[in-house]
Parts: sequence; structure tokens; C-alpha cells
Amino acid sequence: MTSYVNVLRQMATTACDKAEDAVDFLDKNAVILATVGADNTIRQWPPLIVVRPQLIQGNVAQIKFVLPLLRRIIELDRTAVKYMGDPDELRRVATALSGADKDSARGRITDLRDSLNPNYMPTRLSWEGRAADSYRLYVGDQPGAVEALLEPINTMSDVLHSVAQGIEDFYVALAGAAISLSKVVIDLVVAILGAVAAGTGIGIAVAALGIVSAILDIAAALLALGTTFLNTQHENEDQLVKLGPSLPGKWLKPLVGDGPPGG
Amino acid sequence: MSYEPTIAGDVDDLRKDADTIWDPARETLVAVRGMLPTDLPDYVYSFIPGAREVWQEMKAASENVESYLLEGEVAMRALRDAVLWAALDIIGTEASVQDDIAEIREQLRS
Repeated sequence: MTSYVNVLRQMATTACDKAEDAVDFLDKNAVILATVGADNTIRQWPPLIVVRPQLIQGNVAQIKFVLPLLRRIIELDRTAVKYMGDPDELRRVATALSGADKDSARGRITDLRDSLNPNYMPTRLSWEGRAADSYRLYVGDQPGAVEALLEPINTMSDVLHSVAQGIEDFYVALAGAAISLSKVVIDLVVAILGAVAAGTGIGIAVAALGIVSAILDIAAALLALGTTFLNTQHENEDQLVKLGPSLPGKWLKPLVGDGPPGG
Repeated sequence: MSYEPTIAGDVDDLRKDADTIWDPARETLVAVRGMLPTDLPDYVYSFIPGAREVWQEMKAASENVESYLLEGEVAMRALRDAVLWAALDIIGTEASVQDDIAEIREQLRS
């Protein structure tokens, strides 16, 4: 089943695309929109006809002023979407590591550990002598070395599952705010177009204040949630740190060429 | 423990140990190495607080396991080579086995 986060990611990506289209539209049609806006304003206050070129120029300047801000917000939102996290991928890797399947890393390691027994090997009956004895000693030490892989593999898998769950819980708690950035861009463009149609002046400054307020709300929500989820991630981090830099097992390698095995 | 040339053993069994135990064992370790989250990018862990630190520690843990597996792969190969050398020892005492010798030497080179 696809994670809620991936559904959210798809929605957020669509919102980013739509916001980008809206901003492109605004950019390409800035002069036309500024002219229509100015003419609608003049229709309501006819004496302003004398400053029509200045009205148009002022409207164009306002639109051009706000465009880089809008593009920056969309870019920021795309980065946020990229870094939303991918619980599906984390769970896929966790399951590959430690799933019940025999093909998982844990399944393969367990099988290998169990198979490395000199009593099961083709040479068990036919090979004798001191070299054979040395060989069997080496073989007897390998299962322990293989077994040492199980703890880190299981821990990594547990942590990946935990991070995946943490990401999902985070976005459920955030209730989709991640898509809000592009949505406020779309709302702003709609507000500008509404102002153009109504001839009330483009009013970008007021609309821009609205966008800043919306962004601050999102940032505040992120900060508030952040501390709630931090402890879980610290516990995950600690589990990995506890594994230490080296595994407890030791592989034994016989010398070969001039002294195999047991040389 | 000092090395003493192998004088008694079935060459086919020795080669079976190489083929059915040690080569597959090494392949298993290679496969497990390929499953580690060593190269999983940071953005998969998200920007939620603390996730980046988890990503860093996961990368470190994966790299530790990876280098341990690499050592294991060398050990599995050494054990395979050991039984193949033992097979060569035995063959050396037998006559008319040039083809077998060439085959085993080729296997040791692989």
C-alpha cells in the first residue's frame, strides 16, 4: 500500500506545477493584465485617465516585483517536497534487510550460518589428516562470524521502520501543510487576477502580506511538531551508535598457496 | 598448527566444498552487501527533526557492516582456495590428471 506521504507528495507536486503555471501566466501577461487593471480602475474613477500610462507602469512594476518572490517560494516548496521523506522506500529497504522472506539479508545470513558446518560438507568423510583437521577448525569458526551480522542488520531494519513511521506520523500531524506553500502562491495569483477584473487596483502588497503570514503559520506548525518527533529520532540514532564501529565477529582466513589450510 | 601436505582425500569432494559451500557463501555475502542502505540518500529520511542525524548514523553503521562483509568475502574465498590447493596437492600424487590440474588452476584464478 502506498504511504500517505507519497499521496501527499503527489498532491504537493501537482500544487507546485499549478503554481508555476500560474506564475508563468502572470509573467507572460503582465503588461496586458496591468493595462486591463488600469482601464478597469479608470472606468470606476474616470479622472484617472490622465495618469493611465503611470497606472499601467505601476501595475507592471508591482507584478514584476512579486514574481521572483513567487518563484522562490515554489522552488522552496519543491525542495520541501523532495525532502518529505519516503516511508515506502525506507520500509522496502528494511524488509529487504530483515523481512521474514528467506531472500532477506537476515534469511540469507541465517541460512549461511547454518550451512557452514563441517559435518554437512562433502569433504566430511573423504578428507583426512592434519590439513583437514585445520580446515574443519576454520570452518567451525565461520558461523559465529556470520552470526555477528544479525544484530546490526536487525537494528538497521528496526530503525528504518521507525523512521518511516515517524515520517508518516509527522505529516498526519501536519495535516498537509507541506502543500500549502504552493497553494498560497496560487491563491495570490488568483487574488491578483480578481483585483484586475474588479479594477480595484492590483493590491499586490496586501496579497504579499497574506503570503508571508501563511508561510509564518506553516513554519510555526513545523517548529511545534519538530520537538514532538525529535525524541524518537534520537532513540533511533542511539540504537545505531550503540552498534559501535566494529562487529563482534571475526573471520578466519587460512593461508593459501604455501600452507593451506591451517598453516 | 603446522601445515602438512594433504595426502588422503577425494578430489571431487574437495572441489564440491569449493563449488557448493564457499563460492555460494561468498555470493551470499556479496548479495547481503548489496542490500545495505549505504547509498540511501538523505532526502529519503525526510527533513523531520533528527532524521538527518539518523541518516548519518545509518550510513556509518552500513559502512561498518559493509567492510565486515568485504572481509568475510575474502575469508570465504580463502577457504575455497584452501580446499582447491589441497585438491591440487592430492592430484599431484596421481597420474594422468593434467586436465584436472589445469581446471583447478583456472578456478583459483577466477
